[in-house]
Amino acid sequence: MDATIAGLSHPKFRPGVTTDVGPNSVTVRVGETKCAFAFETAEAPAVARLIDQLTTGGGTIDTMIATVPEIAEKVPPLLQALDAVRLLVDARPHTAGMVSGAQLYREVRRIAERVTRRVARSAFQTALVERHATREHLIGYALEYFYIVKAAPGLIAPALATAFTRRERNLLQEFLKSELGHDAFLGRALEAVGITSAELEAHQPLPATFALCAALGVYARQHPLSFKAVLFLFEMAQAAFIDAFDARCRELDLPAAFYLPLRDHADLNADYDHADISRELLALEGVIDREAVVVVKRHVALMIETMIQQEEQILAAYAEPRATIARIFENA
Amino acid sequence: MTEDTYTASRPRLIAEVRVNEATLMLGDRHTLVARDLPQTVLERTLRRMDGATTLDRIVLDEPALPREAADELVASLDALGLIDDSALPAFRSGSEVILELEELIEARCETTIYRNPFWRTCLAANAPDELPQRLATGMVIENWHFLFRESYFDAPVLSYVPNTAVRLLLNEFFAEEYGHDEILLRSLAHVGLTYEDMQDAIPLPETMALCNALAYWAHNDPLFFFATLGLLEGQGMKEDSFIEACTRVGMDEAFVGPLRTHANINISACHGNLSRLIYQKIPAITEAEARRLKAQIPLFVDLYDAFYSGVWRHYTADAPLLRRVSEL
Repeated sequence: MDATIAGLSHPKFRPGVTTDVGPNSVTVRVGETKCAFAFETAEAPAVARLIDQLTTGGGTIDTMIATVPEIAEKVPPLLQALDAVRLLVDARPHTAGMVSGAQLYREVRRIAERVTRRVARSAFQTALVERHATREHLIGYALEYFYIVKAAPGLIAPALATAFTRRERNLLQEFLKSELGHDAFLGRALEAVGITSAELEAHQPLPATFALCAALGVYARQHPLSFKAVLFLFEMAQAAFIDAFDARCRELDLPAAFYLPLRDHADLNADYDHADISRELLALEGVIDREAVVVVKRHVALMIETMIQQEEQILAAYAEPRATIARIFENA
Repeated sequence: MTEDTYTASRPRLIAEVRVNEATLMLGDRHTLVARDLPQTVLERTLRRMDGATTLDRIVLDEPALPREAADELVASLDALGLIDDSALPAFRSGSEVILELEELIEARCETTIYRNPFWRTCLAANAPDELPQRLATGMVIENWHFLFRESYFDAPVLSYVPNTAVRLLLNEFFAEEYGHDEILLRSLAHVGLTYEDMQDAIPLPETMALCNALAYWAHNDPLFFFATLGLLEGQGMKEDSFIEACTRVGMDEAFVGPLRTHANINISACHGNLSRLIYQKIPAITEAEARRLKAQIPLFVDLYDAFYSGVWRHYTADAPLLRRVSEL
């Protein structure tokens, strides 16, 4: 690591610093800290210019030196001394692109709309409405959904460790609680169409399904801000989708014990107002810097793209009738 | 059954058995009275609890001892703290399990990665128009995204507590991997892409899926993460088919050179052997663990195959080279 002054590209006196330039010495103060240094009378104009620049800020170390050639050699050790007694900050804090958490949520919602709009329509919903979706597709969809629901508590839980306020802790705990036990609930729906509980346990998700889970779980641990920002994508009400799903199940004579729990689960999310969870969590965030904003937006866009890929993969992977619909590789 | 924790399959009585008329003394503190069994049978049974003989064998050799009575006896002795069990649940060594995992990886690659249009193109390319620069650049872009995020999925296992030898291997590996994204950035600079461009870039969803999957496994299923490293690091590879193809079709050395530098570091450091080396240090893997590891192999290979399919789809299409956050 470099000496501390090397970290300051545009040195400036920290807020609250006062200076007192005399004919042969200058005193710099902040609070209890005082730093004084002497100079030759002939150097006075240069010292005044330097102090002026450090008060205003904005120049680099090199430009400062260039304006005081008569004391050029003395500037670096002087800056080092001022830095050592904590009198300097960087004049150009990285404020560009900063936003509040609430603002980030607004921008994220807009990005979500734009990215979603680029794909004309949900491929799976289209298959439901146009009646291409087969029995295997519907059961496959439920199997992939089941996998996410089964994984959800484990994906969400790590985020609790980084909830540093009571409000955030409460929100996340309530959210986690509201997701518990849903695997049993959806498991029974799948058993109604002949999937055994052993098959459910052994079922391996499609790559995109796993990618969705992995993203959520990894963000909860590695980038909680991204975790909070993508949650709403999983919780948006999809009334038209659920209606189309039910209708297609009835057309294909699938039992109500299969499709009603899926509807109930969707209603549950709507009741709890889950879709607002991202807004509530992000509203608790303070200022967010530019890089974090870019990372969050990137993750949101990728999550939507992956959700779209998941529908395509379900349509492809469950296209053919087969004896065991669950994807099991234990005896591979 | 070894799964039943209340049963000792090779019970070893840790107290001395002494006969005291109508009772049996176990050590100094416990007295055993035979009710439903002849005392001689009970005594013989206790004396055979040597930690070597299975309870099954003992029951078989003692017709007057019903199975339930034997189980009940062992459970009662166990509750008093008088039983040890030296029997181990079924397990296999890591060095054995990794071979089966490698076989499964190989088999899945046959039907996926080895048939992937990206790799078929690389293997067949001899003339400049057979491997477009845009496709090669795209491959490097996505590889950069992957390497840029390497700490996301290596970091969780650098602290691998269960096994020091494994932890040391992983730390050595990470030290050798660190900074490889910077090497690829030199190739990208040659085709006009800057670090700032890459900071704005969005990887393909398949690339991010692979990164997140690996990070997820590294956090939650490190054994499985270890099994992925061999394929990712080019196990058994003496040369990189992509780099060979770039060279054959005559791409600029300023583009190919850094790629070769990166590949040679991995090859000479034998990173392809890492899965094997790690598993050789793992003394025991239970049957349930082995089943879980094997079951996930197709998912991993499919995610890796999708990475190349993504490169092929996006960089052979007529879309902007970089997907940018600033253009979302």
